[in-house]
Formats: sequence, C-alpha cells, structure tokens
Amino acid sequence: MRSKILLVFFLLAVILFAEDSEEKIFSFEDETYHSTELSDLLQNIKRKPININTADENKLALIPWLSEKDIQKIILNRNSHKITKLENLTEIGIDAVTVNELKDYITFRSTIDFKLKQTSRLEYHQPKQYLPSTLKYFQKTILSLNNFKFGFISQKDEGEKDPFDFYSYFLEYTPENFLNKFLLGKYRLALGQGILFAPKLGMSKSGAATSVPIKKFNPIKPYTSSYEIWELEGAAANIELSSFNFIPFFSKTALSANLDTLSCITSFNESGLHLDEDKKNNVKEIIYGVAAKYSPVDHLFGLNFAKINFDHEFSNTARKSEYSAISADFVLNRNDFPTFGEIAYAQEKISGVMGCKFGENALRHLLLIRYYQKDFPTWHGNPFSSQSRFDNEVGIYYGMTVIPMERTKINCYFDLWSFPQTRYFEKMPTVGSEQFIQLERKFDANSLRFTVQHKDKEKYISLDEAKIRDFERTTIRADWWQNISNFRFKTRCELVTEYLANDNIHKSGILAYEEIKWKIDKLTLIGQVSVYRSDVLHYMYEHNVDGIMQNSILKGDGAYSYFVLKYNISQDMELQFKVSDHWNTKDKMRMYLQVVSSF
Amino acid sequence: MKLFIIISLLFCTILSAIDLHLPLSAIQNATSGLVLIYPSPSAANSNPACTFSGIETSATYLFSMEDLPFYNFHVQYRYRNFGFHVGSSFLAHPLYKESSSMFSVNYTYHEFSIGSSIRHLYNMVEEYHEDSTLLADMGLLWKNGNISTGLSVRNAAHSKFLEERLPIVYLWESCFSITPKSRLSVGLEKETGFDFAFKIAGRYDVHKVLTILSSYQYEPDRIGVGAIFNLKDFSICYSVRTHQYLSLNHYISLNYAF
Repeated sequence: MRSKILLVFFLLAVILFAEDSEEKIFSFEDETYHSTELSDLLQNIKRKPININTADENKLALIPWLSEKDIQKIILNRNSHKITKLENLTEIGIDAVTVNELKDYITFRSTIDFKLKQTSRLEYHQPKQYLPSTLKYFQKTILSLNNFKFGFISQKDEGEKDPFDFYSYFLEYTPENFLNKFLLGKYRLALGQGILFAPKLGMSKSGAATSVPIKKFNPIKPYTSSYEIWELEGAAANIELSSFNFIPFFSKTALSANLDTLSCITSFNESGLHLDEDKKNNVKEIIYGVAAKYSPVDHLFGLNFAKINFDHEFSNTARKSEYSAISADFVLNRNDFPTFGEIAYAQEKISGVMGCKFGENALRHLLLIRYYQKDFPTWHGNPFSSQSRFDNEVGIYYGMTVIPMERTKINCYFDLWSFPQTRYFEKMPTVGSEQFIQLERKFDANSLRFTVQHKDKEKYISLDEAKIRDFERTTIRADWWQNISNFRFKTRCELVTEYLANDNIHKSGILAYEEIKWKIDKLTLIGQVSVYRSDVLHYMYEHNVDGIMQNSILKGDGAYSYFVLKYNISQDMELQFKVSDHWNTKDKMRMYLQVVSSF
Repeated sequence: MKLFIIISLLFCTILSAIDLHLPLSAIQNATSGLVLIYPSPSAANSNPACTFSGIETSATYLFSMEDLPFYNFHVQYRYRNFGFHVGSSFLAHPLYKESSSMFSVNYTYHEFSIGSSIRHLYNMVEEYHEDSTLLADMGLLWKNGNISTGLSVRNAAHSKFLEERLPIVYLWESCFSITPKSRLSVGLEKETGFDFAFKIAGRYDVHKVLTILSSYQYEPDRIGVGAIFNLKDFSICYSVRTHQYLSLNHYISLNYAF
C-alpha cells in the first residue's frame, strides 16, 4: 500500500508542473536513429582517418572543414614536402581554427593501418578456502592490420591451474566489398530479438523504459568476452548484396555440463570455474545454419535457420539433443518509432516476442509481449523476459517515458508475467508483476533522481508445507549528483522492504553511500563508502576497471568500500587499479590491476 | 458450479457480483476505465459531468467467454450549457443477467462542469435472486488549458440491493496534454472496503485517422491497449486488456459524433 501511495505522489508532484515543452537536455536513442549523414560520415572518418599525404581530391573533400582552396594548397605542397604534423598545415596557409578541427580526422602516417590493443588484468579474490592458485588472470590482444583483425583472449580463474583454462581466438576480415565480414575462430551470434541467438549478458529492464527492451544487435562479432560459455567456434560470414545480407555460420565447440549416471545432461556449468578437469568441456555441440536479412530503407526482415546437435542426450526427455530451429524477425519503421518482433520454432515448440513503440519524444510508449512455450530450447538465446531463464514465460510489458518539462524526465514501466506451466523448482504455475517509476530532474550542476520499484510475485520459499508464497519487494531510492569543479559527488539513500503475505513476515533494509569521482588531466580517482543495515539484499552498481561487471550484493549490518584509479601513463597506455572490501568480513577483499595499451 | 467459478473469478476484484464496474466501451477497456483521455458518450456513466455529443455502441464476449456477451448503447447530446445522456448496458449469461439503464444531465459553467445521473440496476442469478434498485451518481469536471481533472462518486446515495448496501466507488482522474498529439491520464479508483486502484493511460494520435491508446492498472495488475480508426464522424475502436486470471478481454465499439 505504501508503495502505491508513493507511486501516485511521485506522478502528481511532477504532473502539477507539467508544461508542453520539448526535451532539450537529455539525449534520446531516437536522436541516434536520426543521426545525419554528416555525423555518420564524420564517425567513419574518425575511425579511419584520411591520410593527408596520399588521399586524392575527392577523398579530401569529404572533410567538411576543408575548402576547395585548402585542398589545392595541400595537394600542391605535399608533392614537394611531405606533411608530417599539424603545424605543416598552418605553414602552407590553412588557418589554425580549421587545423584544430581536422586533427581527429586526418593522419600523416603510411597507408598501412596498424593497431595493437593489449589488455592484461590480474585479479585477487581473498580466498575462503585453500586453493592452489588464488590469482585470476585475463589477457586480451587484438591486432588490426588494414582490413584484418586478429585476437587472442585467455583467462584463468582462481583455483584453476591451466593459465589458458579459457581462451578465445579469432581472425576477422572486413573487405569493403560484398563480403561485409568474415570471421574465423570464436565468435558470438545475435539474430532478431534474440530468441535463438543473443549475447548472454544483454541488458533487460531498466530506467530507459522505452528503449532498452528492444534488441538491436550486430549479427556477428568476435568473442572477446571473459564470460566462459556459449561462445561459438568455427566460421561465420556476413555477405551483403544490395539490401540483402546472408549470414552463414558453422560452429563446433565444447561445453562444460553436469551429467547424470547415464551420461545425460542435467545442466550446464555457466560459472566458468573448472576445478574438476573431468567436467570441463565434456559435451560437444555442433551448430550450423544461415540467416538472411532484407533491409529496405526503413524496415528489416530476417529469416534464421540453425541445426543444433549435442553429442549427449538430455536427462529431461522433453529436450532433444538434435534439432532444427527456425525463426523470422522484423523491424518496421526502424529509424523512428519501430514495430518489431521475432517468432521461433524448435523442437515442435513456439516462442515469440513482439513489440511496438509509439508516441513522440515528450511522451513515448513501448508495448511488448512475449510467449515462450515450456521446454523451448533456450541455450543460446536471451530475448526479453522477467528473468534470465525465459523458458515457459508469458508476459506483457508497458513502458512509458514522459518529458513534462525541460530537464525533467519520468520513466515508468509495468510488467506482468506468468509461468502457466510448472518449472522445475516451482510445483505450480506462478504469476508476477513489476512496477517501476523513475523521476529525473537535472539542474545546472546537480541532478536528482527518485526511483520506486515494486515487485509482486509468487515465489518458491520453503518455510512449511505450503511452498508457493506471495512475495513483495519494494525499493525506494534517491540519488543526488553534484558537480563541483573536477569533483563529482553521488549520494544514494535506498530503502528496501520485503513482505511475505501468507506468513505476515516483514523484512527491510536501508543503505546509503557516498561516491566521489575526481578527474584531473591524466588521472581519475573514484572512491565509494556504503553503509547498510539490512535483513534483505541490496544490489549496487560499482565502477570497475574496463571489462569487468562486478556489482555488489550487500546484506546484514556493515560497511563496504571500493577505490578505483585510472592513470594514463602515456598517450598509448593506461593503468587501472581497483580494490574493494567489506569492512566487517575478513574474506571478501578483491583487487584488480589492469594495463590497457593501444598502439 | 460453473456460474460460481465465473462470477468469483470474473469479479474477484469487486466487492460483489452486483453493479459490475465493467468498461462500457472499447475505449474504456483500452484506458483501464479512465475517460477524460478520450471522451466518448459512455464516459458519462463513469463521470456524469462528462459531455460528448454522439452515439456509441459496443459489444464483447467478456474474457473471451462465448456465453458472456456484454452490450452497451449510449447517446449524449449537448444543448447550450446542458448535456443530456441516456444509456444502457446488458450482460446476458443464461444463468446470470445484469442490466443497467441510466439518465444523466450536466451543466457547464466556464471551466467547471457538474453532473448527476440516475441508474436503474437489475440483477438476476437463476434460482438465487432477482432484484432491482435505483442508484445515484455524481460528478465534477474542471478543464483548464492542457489539464482536465474529474471526480466522480458512484452510488452516492449508498443504495441497497437485496437489503445489502452496495459499495460507493470514488474515481479521480487528471488528464494532461503533453503535446498536441499526446495525452497522459492518471487516476485513482477507490471502492469502499477495498484498496486504491491506481491507473495510468496514454494516448497518441498517430494520424488523423488513427489513435493508439494504452494503459496500466495497479491492484489488480492489468494492461490495456487499443486502436481507434476515425472515418469522418464515425470511429471504430478495437481494444484488448489483460486479466490476472482470465483470458484477454476483447472489445469493439462504434461511435458517431454529432
């Protein structure tokens, strides 16, 4: 009841000041859709700067700041004296303001485009038990040479002996012809709305109520993640013929699975931790198929087919080890407010996601429905759902973004879902709902954000013979950002309550933190101290070294802090360090040391 | 037994299975019962102060059950500062019937409107009961620029049915024109003995011939969505709305504005 009243008051407080005004501060994803040809062109040139010594007249004319006279000056002078630095351009008569604008878009080097990016990371997690090796090591090397890119990634978790316990490698070729991309090695596949193939770490519901649930994927990418499962290994290509794209793919890879006494698969080990070598990569999987896409100017239509074969049976006989999967996806009006969806068929089961976005920037809506049949194979998929495992879920999502006045934004979403058939850990069908409202107000040097989130669902909690209980969780959160000179302060207060209606059990918790970010020149320092007194779990986002997604889960009475340092040792190299610790617990300290270099 | 299940499931959020607060049109089905966001003749049933000259008729099989047809017919006419409305609703299950006929009048003075209606309610459950009663509803409406706010009280006289007092229902709604094409409405409904139901609805005029409506209701959680096709003075609306236990509620309405 309390959450309902707060929800209403938040809306009223804003609506009382409602004005018919347009958004001027916040950036929209729609602006991305509407990105002009010029900005696209500049982005492309920035990624691949124009060589001022070799580019012909037409190529130089692509740079908008160069006049015809400037181009003639460059061409006349570079024949006698090679241009090697920005000052040379001023010397030949190009004004300083133009030269300053040019610096990100031109290069003086030879035509060989060579880049080397190296990331090395050491992690230390204070061990709770004896392990032969307590260090975690990750390294990523990516070498780019003109249209070729080669990468090698390796990782060893704490406790693992093999320094290459997990590795990924790839060779990517992106010629500027009908062959848009060719990938050899380990890669990830993402098609349509992600029912059959999608990155496992994709984002779901969030404060961006009318944008995040829409999946917009690049179909094939090298596998550079440290997440040690669900990568494909083999070859894939993206062939572009006018408005058509064909994406053939083949993969033969190994997965770590838990097997029963009959050697049937019961589940997969998604942690990536391989302390028992016998259970590592003990199941082989072969996938091959093709995706076809037709992309007229404003729409997109896709057909995806895959054949999947495991070399072990599943202990759940409803799941087959060999099957075909087919899906069709579409996006209509993709450059504006789109209607999108995907429907998939595999193992005689159907799944579907369909959504529609409508309205204007000041009031946008997103409606999305999903239906996943029980035992639909979800191995490589990750479409929109109330939770990470979308098998056997039916739901409808309604998101809304309101800009009632300048610098103010309200995001809210309402999600209803049900599991009409039982799941393996719940003995009867369950239903649930979620309400979320977030009010954001930006001032000159300050920002305020209020968030209320309420979940009400049936959950399996074993207290007595009755296992399924009505579970409610309400989160009320206030965030305040201040920018003072080079400092940014962020203050958060969070109250979480949980309620089991059947047993009249109330639990609650409070968390507060202060975060300070200081950035000067080459150095960035971030420090945060959290205090909490709670009987429930608090989930908290953390700043990290690049490539890490470590968020804290806090419970009990205590304090927690972390400190991040990022220092540019030189133009090509950055040192990153992080340490985090729970003040009242001995074995939860974590340290990260990472060097990111790019030549 | 079947009747008991239908009634108990169908109306589990309502105090009793008498004076059902069902949406009277596809528009109300799409907006979770909020009426200011897209006025229509049947809106006077929710708030007698609402005026919209026209004829509206709608039909549905409640929750996709073929033996639960629900029909509505409403006419409203505005003469100078006065608005007059007559309407009728009829739910026709073989074992359960409920009909409601109403007459409303309202008066507008500058930005304010005040209205009242008298409803005749008839309810019959085969072999259980058959009775009728008169109910009085009242409503207030304030319009100022881009904002309109309404408050209505249904069964203001706390009438009896089968010697039992029927619940009083309060509905507050505020509607905001965010842009010329977009509107947002929020509302609260309170029935005596029950918690508040919070409602929010959005409207977007895609084109002069197409309007999209969507809404959410909390407690119980339900989502509604609908599309209105405008053809000169005629409009056709189709909408669906979820229910926490039952199948989708499909509605279709035909409106004529004069």
